Amino acid sequence: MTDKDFNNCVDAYSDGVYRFIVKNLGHEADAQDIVQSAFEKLWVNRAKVETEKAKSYLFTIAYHQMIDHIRKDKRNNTTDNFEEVKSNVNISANGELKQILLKAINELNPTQKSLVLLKDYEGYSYQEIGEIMDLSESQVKVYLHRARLILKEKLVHLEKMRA
Amino acid sequence: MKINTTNYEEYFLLYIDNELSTEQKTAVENFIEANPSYQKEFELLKQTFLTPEHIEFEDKVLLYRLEDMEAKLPSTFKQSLYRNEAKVIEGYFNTTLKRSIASVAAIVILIFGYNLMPTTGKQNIQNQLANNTGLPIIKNESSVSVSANSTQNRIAQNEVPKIAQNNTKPSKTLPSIAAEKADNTPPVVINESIANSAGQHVNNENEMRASPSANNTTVITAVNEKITSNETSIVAEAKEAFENINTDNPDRTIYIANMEIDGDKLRGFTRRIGAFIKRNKTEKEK
Repeated sequence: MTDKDFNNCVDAYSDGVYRFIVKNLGHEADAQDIVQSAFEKLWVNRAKVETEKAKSYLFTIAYHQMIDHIRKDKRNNTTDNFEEVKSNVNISANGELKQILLKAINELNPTQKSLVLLKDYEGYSYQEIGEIMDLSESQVKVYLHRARLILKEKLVHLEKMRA
Repeated sequence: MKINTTNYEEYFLLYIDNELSTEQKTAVENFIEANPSYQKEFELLKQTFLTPEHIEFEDKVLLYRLEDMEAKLPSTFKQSLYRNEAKVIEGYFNTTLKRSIASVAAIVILIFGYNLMPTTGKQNIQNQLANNTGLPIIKNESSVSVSANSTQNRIAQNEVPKIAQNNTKPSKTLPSIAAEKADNTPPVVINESIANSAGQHVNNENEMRASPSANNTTVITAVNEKITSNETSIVAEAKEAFENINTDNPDRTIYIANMEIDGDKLRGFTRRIGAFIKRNKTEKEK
């Protein structure tokens, strides 16, 4: 991968990686740090990484760094930054349903959240998600379906509440 | 595979996840058309799909990289930065080797020291005998018996002739003992017999000496004359026996476990090692 390829990757994937991390983590500055170090790693290993695989490479590194970050965060016992995200990240939200869904997604566990985000935002296949998250294809399928059913139940519940 | 009322949910989810072929997708659509009661369920699950929103990573400038941006120094300048650590000459051996050699040398020295100990001890005893020249030797039973025993021990250790020489000149009591010892060639047996005989002699002599403490020498000569006259033949035999014992080449064989080492050959080697270690020490101290 040349430096030109690398900069093309920055243009093509940095938004996606950042979105994935910030949605998961709920903290802009931390997400930016993770994105930066993911690209840093890509730069260091640019000789080994093929340009076609750069995207999943970036997501894989970013995901694992995020997991590490969450673990550290748990140890430090920091508060949930969900509200901060909601106010800070410029969400081009349209409609109430979306807000409800975002809230519901934030209540999922980190793995389920990542699965939904990688699937819906990035459009990765089960196999690709499995590679990024160190899961088997069937695990991805089962966990993702479970997450969707949870989301569905929440939507049903909220609709009932409103009715 | 067919979609039915038991497996519809998985198909719906796979449909939403876009993991179905176009054929399968139409099959799902057909199923919903055929079973409108599942329409609601399908719509609800569809709503769980998160439509991507645009979130931008604003500081892309931080991420851009250019090969040219990487600092590159001319090779000549780089070479000027290289540093070579001055080579430290640490003698011939590394520390572990030094230690192992030192330990081996220590063992060898210990063994040699042990072997050397008796000879110095012998010398001491010889000196004592020379100083005592018969007079004070036989002052009381216990001291004599002790000295007799110790001399016997030395004799067992290849020093027969020397003691014999010492004894023959000044004190005429000891030759008799030596003679008796020589008579009984196996050294262990000598110990007992000499202890007994020496005791007897001492007893005799003590009796004789009890009264004339001032004229000791005369008494001793008298006693000695007695003894020598009694045992001249034995002394002759003893001389022969002494010749058989080789004192010039003391056996310096070292036994370490089952290993037999020629001590004489090793001696120079161990000395050299000792000298080397000493030199190293002094150099280090400097």
